[in-house]
Amino acid sequence: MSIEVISRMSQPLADAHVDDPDLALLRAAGLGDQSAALQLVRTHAPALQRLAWRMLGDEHEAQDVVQESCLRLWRVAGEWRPGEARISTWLHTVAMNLSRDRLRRRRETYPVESFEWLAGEDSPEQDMERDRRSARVQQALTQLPERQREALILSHFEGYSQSEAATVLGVSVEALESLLSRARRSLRQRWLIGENES
Amino acid sequence: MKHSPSSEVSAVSARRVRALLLAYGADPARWPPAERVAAQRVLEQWPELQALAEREATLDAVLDEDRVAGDVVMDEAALLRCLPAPQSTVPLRMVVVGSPGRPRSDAGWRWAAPALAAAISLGIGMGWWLPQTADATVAVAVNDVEDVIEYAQIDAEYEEFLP
Repeated sequence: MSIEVISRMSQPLADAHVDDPDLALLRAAGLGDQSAALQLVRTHAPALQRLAWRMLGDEHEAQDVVQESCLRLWRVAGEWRPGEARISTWLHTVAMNLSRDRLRRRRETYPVESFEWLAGEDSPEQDMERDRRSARVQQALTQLPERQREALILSHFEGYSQSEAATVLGVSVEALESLLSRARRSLRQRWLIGENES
Repeated sequence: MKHSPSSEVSAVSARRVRALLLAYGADPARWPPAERVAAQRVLEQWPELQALAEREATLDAVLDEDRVAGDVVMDEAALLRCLPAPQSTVPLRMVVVGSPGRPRSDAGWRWAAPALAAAISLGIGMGWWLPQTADATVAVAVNDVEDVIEYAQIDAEYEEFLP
């Protein structure tokens, strides 16, 4: 686990609850109950994969992030301290950090400008336009500053509550709103939305 | 804001509603629950905020064209690969040799397979090694006899060994 994740996890979390609905499953998984572990993974993996996919723009890399996040969860399952973090928040924080690490490694390999979303190449004709528009959104997301993109993904696309998104990002709710406002302003300017308004 | 429809409180709230629109977009469902109802009331009173909400709704619609959410298909095999390994339910002391725990009648059976494997290995090894040892022993014996004869030829006291 990265130092960044450890430092964030050691901080008191605003949305921490002892009555975490996943706690019993995690305890069982920590004792080797694979059915409990599978239930946990099935509950959270789709959201984790969407998060990583939007961050990385690559479905297979996103799957790797999901797997690594779950493996890290099993490692700490036996020592999980209820009340410090919700399991879902913890998982999203780990997935977010793993995605960041991959993005940084990717930037060392080739510049962000060369990264392009390839959507719709093999889709049926009726899906081509939707794929094109979707790719346009995804490409715009990748070109936002990292923290703004993360805030938008968590808040707009994943529907996180303000406190949960702020917790995952390690910022205050006010800072989250600032990140979101700047992200949306960048996108409006990019797509020329409301340009003729004062 | 160009005008204030009601009071000072609503003017403050209008600024907050503007901030909510800019941060979270036009859908009140995305606004903080504690502020949602009051913010919607203020929004209804301010035409400028309604225009801002329309603009943000346009951005929301563009963002919602992203199809990732609908396209995620989980790889069940990948999910199974990341499950934790099942742990043994047998306490550690039961499998530690010489531990002070209560002896179990079936504890010896744990060593049956390793002992059998060791015995088979030893048998194969002996079978490979023993014939060579026998040949070497015979060869040493023959050499010893020749030496004795040779020494006898040198030493006259051992005349009985002379050919």
